Amino acid sequence: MSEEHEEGHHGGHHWKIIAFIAFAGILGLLIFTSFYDFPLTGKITGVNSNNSVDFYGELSIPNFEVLGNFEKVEIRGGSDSFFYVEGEKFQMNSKNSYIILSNYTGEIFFNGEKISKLNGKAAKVVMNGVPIEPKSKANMKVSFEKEFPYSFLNIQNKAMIKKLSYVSSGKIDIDNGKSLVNLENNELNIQNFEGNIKVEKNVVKMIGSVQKLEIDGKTKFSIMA
Amino acid sequence: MSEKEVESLLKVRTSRRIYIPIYIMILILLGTAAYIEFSGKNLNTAILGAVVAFSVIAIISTEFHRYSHLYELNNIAIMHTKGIFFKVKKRTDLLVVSDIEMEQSPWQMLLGIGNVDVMVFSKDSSTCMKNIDHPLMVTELVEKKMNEKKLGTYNPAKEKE
Repeated sequence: MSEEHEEGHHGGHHWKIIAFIAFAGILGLLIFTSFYDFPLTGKITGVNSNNSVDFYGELSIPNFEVLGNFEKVEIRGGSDSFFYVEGEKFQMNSKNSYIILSNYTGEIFFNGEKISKLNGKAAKVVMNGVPIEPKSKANMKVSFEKEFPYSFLNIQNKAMIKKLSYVSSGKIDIDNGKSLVNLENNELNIQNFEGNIKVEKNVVKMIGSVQKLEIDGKTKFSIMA
Repeated sequence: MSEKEVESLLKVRTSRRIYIPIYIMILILLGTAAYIEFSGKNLNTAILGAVVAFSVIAIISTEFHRYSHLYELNNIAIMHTKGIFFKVKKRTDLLVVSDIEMEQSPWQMLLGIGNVDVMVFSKDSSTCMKNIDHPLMVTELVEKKMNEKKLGTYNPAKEKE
């Protein structure tokens, strides 16, 4: 056989092998990332310096149990119960009572309709635009007498949720638009969320970062920073 | 008579059929990506980019490969032009052709293509037309023209008429 012929055959075989390996690799990744719970996205998306991934979610509301130090908590709502500030009672008759708690430390338990528990200390409290001055320099103890129906809740800097697991609907945006996921009654697992939480019109907006996110059901997705 | 004045009887390139496996790979990748997208599963954008890149590179490479070989036959010689930007032209006079050989592997038989080796007494200096369509017809035509040239029956004036 001629040299030209032989060279051609060897060169051709190399290209065929390279093309087939590339094809098999891409097809394998395509299948694994789509049909199996393969956490590849977590490796591709940007990871923050605190080892977490940027997260934005507009979701249905579960039973939240949030603990921590928050720069600002805003609540709008009303009930026939009382709001306690350092032992002082404040009636919340108006449906649009508006409370601002600054530098709040404590716990807030809530679902889509009511705040079941608010118990902590705040450096500053403003009720319907009127500031309540502390008697001493220390933080003021604040709490609700009983469940408080609300229409708006905003927790800023920084709500921390260690673990959140519930069946959710809505949409999630990972790493500033790099991955968008629509949820329809999907099992959602979030670990170590840090950021802001805003509840309005039966939707919770979570803006911050997560260390682990898993979505199960018809749409599957997984991220670990 | 100069080479330029002689009309080409045949111009062939590598058959596109040889790239059928590559085209099948592209179709499988695009088909799988489309199925994933329309079945509501999560289609990773980075991998979709890899699918598109593979498809584009594969199509461009096959076209480059195809256009980098041109085999021409006229009444005087066989010419093999290699390359697109840097061309190398190899000319084999029909008078010095000793033998013609057609090769077909089972795969080439299936695709209806083959190799035609035009040998010059030594296989080392042969011109091989690889993976061309209608290899039998090309072999017969080269053989006919070779015999005409050797027996001196080729008459350019007659050819012009």
